[in-house]
Amino acid sequence: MKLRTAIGFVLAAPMLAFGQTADQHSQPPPQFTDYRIPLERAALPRESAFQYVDLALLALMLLLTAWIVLTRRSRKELRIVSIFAVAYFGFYRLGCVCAIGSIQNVTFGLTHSSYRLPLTVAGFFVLPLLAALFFGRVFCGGVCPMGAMQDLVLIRSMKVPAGLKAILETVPYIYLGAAILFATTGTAFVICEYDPFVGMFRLHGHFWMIVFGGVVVALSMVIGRPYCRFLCPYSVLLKWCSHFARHSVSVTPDGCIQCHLCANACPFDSIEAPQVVPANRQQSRRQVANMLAFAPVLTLALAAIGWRMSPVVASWDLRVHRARVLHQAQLNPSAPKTALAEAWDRHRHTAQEAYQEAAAVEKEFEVGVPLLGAWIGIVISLKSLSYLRRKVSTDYVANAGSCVSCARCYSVCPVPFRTYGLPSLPIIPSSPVEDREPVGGAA
Amino acid sequence: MPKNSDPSRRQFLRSVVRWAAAPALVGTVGAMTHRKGETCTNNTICRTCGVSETCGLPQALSFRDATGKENRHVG
Repeated sequence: MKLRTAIGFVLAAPMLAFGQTADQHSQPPPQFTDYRIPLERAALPRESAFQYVDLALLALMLLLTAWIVLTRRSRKELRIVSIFAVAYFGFYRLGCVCAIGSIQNVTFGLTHSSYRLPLTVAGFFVLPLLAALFFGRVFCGGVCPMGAMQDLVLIRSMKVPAGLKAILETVPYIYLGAAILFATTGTAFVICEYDPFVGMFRLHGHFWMIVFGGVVVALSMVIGRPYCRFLCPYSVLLKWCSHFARHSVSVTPDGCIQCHLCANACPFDSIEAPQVVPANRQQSRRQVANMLAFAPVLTLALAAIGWRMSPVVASWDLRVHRARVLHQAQLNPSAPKTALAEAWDRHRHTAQEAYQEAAAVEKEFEVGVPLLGAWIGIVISLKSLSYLRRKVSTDYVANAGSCVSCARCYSVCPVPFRTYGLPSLPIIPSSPVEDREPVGGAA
Repeated sequence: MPKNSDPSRRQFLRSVVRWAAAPALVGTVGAMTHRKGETCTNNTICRTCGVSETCGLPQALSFRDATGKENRHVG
C-alpha cells in the first residue's frame, strides 16, 4: 500500500509541474512595459557543502545498490533505494547535477582548456562508470532518479518488436554523438535542454518539455524504461563499461533449469535465451563478410552527407544565426531590424566581429558534423554485425550491456528453492514468497 | 590447449581493460577539476544562479534559450 502511495506521488509530478507552468503563463505580462515573468529563485546557502554530501551519497548508494543486487539479490530492498533516489536526487536536489548531463561538461572540458570542471560534475560522471566497471549497471538499477522514476511506474511491460527495438537502440548512440558535437562547439547542452524529467523534478519548465516528460512517464507504465533504453546517452558509456564488469548479474545462484521464467519477467529484454551454433555457418560468414564490405561505404556516405549538412546544423548555434541575421540586415537596410540585430548593435559590437566569431564556429561544424555522420555509420554497421553474431550458450544469461540490474529475474527464478533448501521446486510459484512480484510487472 | 583456457583468458583481458580504464578515467577527469579557469559556481543549476543571465558556459546558453531570454530560433 505504501509503495502504491509512493508511485502515486511520482505520477503526480508531471501533473503538478504542468499545473505550475500553466498557472504562470495563464496571464500575459503587462503590455508596453519591460516586465518579464520572473523566474523563481531559491536561496542555496549551503551549496558548497552539498557538493560533498551529494558525492558521498552517490558513492554510498552505488555500493549499497551493488550489495543489494549482487549479494542480497533483493528486488524489495532495491525499490526502497530507488524511491530514495527519486526523492533526494530528483525532487530535493532538482535533478541536477545528473550523470547524464555531465557528459557535456566533460566534453566541454576536454576541448576547452580554460574550463575547470566542477568537482560534483566530475564525481557524477566518474563514479557510476567506475561502479559499472566493477559491478555492472548498478547506477541504473537504483541510483539514477530518472531510471528509478520509470521503473517505479511500470505496471506491465509490453515487448517491443525486435526490428523496432534494433532501430531504437541506435538512437542513444546518435544522441550521444550529437550532444558531444554541440557541447564541443559550445552551442548548447542539448541533454539538459531536452531532459524530460528535470521539469517534473523542479515543478517548473518549458511547456512542451513537461508534456514530453508526461509522455515518457506514461510510456514507462507499459514499456520498460523507454528513456533509458532508447534515448539515454549515458547508457552507452555504462554499457561499454559493464561489459568489463568484475561482478555482474547472474540469474541463478546454481544451474539453470531453462524454465524461461526470467526471460518472461525481464521487462527490458535483457535475458538471452540459450543459442546453438547455426547449421549453415557458410551463410552466416557470407552475411558478416557482406556487412564488413558495406560498413566503410555506409560510414563514408554518412560522413559526406554530414559535410553537406554542416551549414544547416551550424545554424543551430546562436553565434552563426546572429551573423546570418546581421548579414541579411546589411543586404536589406530598409527592412525593419530584428530583435537580435538590435541587441547586437546596443552592445556596440560591429558586424565584422559577429562574422569572425561565426566563421570560427562554422569551421568547427565543418569538421564535427562529418565526424558525427561517420559515427552514425560506424554505430549502424557494428549494431548490424552484433545481430549477425551468434553467441553459443546453454543457459539463460543476463546481457552484461543491457541489463540494468533491476533484480526482477531473481524473484521469479525457482532455482533458489533448491539451492537454499527451501520447501519445493515450483516451476510457477504459487505460495507467497518474500520479495516476489508478478511476472513482467513492478507494482 | 586445455578446454577451459578461453574463459580465463577472456577474464584476464577484461581485468586488464578494467584496471587500465579506471585510473585513466579518474586521472583525465580529475585533471580537469584542478585547472585554473572559468567554472560553474552553482553546481550547474542555472535556474537558481545569480549569474546565469551573463554566464558564457553552454549550459547557461541552453538555459536562456529554454526560458526564452535568448531565442536562437527567432530572428
